Amino acid sequence: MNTDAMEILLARLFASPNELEQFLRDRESYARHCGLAHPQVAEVLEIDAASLRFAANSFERKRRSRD
Amino acid sequence: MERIARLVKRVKPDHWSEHLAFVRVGGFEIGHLAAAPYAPQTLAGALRNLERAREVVGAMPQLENIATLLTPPGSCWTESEFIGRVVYGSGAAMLLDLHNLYANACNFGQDPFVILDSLPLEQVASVHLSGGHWESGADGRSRLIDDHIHDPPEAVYELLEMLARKASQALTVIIERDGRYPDFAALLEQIARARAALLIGRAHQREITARHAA
Repeated sequence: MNTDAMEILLARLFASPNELEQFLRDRESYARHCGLAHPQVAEVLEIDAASLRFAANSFERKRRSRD
Repeated sequence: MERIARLVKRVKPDHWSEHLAFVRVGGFEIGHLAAAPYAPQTLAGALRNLERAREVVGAMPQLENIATLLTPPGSCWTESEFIGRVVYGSGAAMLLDLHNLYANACNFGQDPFVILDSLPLEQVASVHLSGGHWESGADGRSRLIDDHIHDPPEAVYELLEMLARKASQALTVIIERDGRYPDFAALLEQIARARAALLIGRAHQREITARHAA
C-alpha cells in the first residue's frame, strides 16, 4: 500500500481549507489525482466528513494561534 | 536535527523526546501534529527517521503518542499496535501522554483503560498529564480537544494509577501547562494528586506481587 500518497492527501486536506472543500466535492477524483489506488480510494470515500472538517478546523486554528 | 543535536550537546538533558506524528510531506505544511496511516510503510519510515535522529543527536528520542481527531485512512493496525511496533522496532522509550490517550478514547468511543493496557507499558519512561476542553462540531457531536490550558481530568489520574500498577520501572511524570495558569497552590495540589495516584498504583502492584509469591 502506498501510504506516502495517503500522507500527502491528508496533509493537503489539513493544510488548506480550499483543498478540503475540493476533496469533499469530489472525493474519488481528488484521491485519484493524489495517486491513490483502488483500495485507498475506497477508504477515503469512507472518511466521516464532519470529523474531517473538525480536524482541519482545529489545525487551522492552531496555525493561526502560532502566527 | 543538527540544531537539536547542538542543544542536546549543550544542555545534556536526561532525555529528549518527539511526537510520533508527521507535520509536513510533499511540500504541504500542516503546521501541527497529524497521525500518519498505521501501516507497514509508515512504520518503515518512522524507524528510518528514528535511526537517523539517533545518529545525529547521539540518543534515541522518547516517543510521545499524539491526540488525533481522525483514524488515519490506510491504517491496517490500531494506534496501540503501531506504537508498539515503532517502540520495539527502534528500541526507543515511550513518553506516554495520558490526556492524549484519554482524548482519543473519548473521541473514538473507546475505553481508555483498555487502550492503556494495549500499549507497550514496560517501555514507558515518562508521562505527560494535561487537560483539554470539549467542543461541539457542526454535526452536533462533542469532541475533547487536548489544549494544555485546563486541569487534568480525574480520569487522567486514574490512568496514571493503572500505569503505576502495571509498569514497575521508574516513571518521570510531568504536568503540561502552557497557559491560563491557576494559583501555584492548585498546581501543587495536582502534583500531590499525581503522587497519590502513583503511590496507590505501586501499592496495588506490591500487593499483587506478594499474592503471587505466597
